[in-house]
Amino acid sequence: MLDQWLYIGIFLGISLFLPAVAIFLASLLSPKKPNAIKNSVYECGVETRGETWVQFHVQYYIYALMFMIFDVETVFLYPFAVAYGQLTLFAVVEAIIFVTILLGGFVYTWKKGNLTWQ
Amino acid sequence: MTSTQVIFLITALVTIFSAVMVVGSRKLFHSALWLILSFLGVASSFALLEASFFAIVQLLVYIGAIAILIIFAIMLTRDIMEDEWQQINRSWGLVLILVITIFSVLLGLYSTWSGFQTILNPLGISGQENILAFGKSILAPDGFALPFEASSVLLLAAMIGGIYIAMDRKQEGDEA
Repeated sequence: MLDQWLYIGIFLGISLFLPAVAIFLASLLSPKKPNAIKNSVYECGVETRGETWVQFHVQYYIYALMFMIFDVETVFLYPFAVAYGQLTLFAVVEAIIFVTILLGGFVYTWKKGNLTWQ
Repeated sequence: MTSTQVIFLITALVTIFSAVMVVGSRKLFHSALWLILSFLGVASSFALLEASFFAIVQLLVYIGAIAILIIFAIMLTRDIMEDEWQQINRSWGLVLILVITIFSVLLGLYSTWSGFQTILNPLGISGQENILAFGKSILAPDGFALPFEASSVLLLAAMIGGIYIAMDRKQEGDEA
């Protein structure tokens, strides 16, 4: 069982190691003669005007909240999906009720107009 | 020490260090990022305990959703990267002594508890089979069917409550 996680651990190690080596070697080998043009933002998007850390609109929070709720729902539906082949009709109806109750909240949010960007 | 113990020690140290950094970091946004590392450490601990479903839940829900929600909440505040306030309480020395005393008293009390001597038995089912058993038991009428449905009502209440608080009241007033 732990062997499966060992693969993920090895991948995690490699994925941290390779970029670290690349960045370290680059900083070791590259000549350092900075000037204004070299230090400018190049192909990194538009330079910001004023404060970068601005206050965000509260509507992003609603989307994040909705995402979190349905993320938790997915967690409950995953064991249901794994066991689906061996379930009775009762269990399937139960899962449908589970989804329907949460759908009620989704409809509430939708009807309140929180999902349209203002 | 076996290799599992070494891995456990490393993940435990990373978890505790990042958890301390969550409360110790001067910038709120950095705290949120340290929190993600702490969650990752907890997920690895679950994986080491062969509770793979909980490890995935920890990744998916805590890192994927709750940490993102916290970051969003921080981005909604006015001063994200400001650190002009004093973060350390002036009476931290007294608090440290109190906390250490309470901790050692609790440790002394709990170490005599017989529950710590219980030897945990591994599940008789391995790999994917435990998720199958979990799925069957949460939907079985004689299993955890009622808590399963109650959790959906709980989620519904959380969703409606959270959205009601975050809702733009002025916009609603215009429509009415």
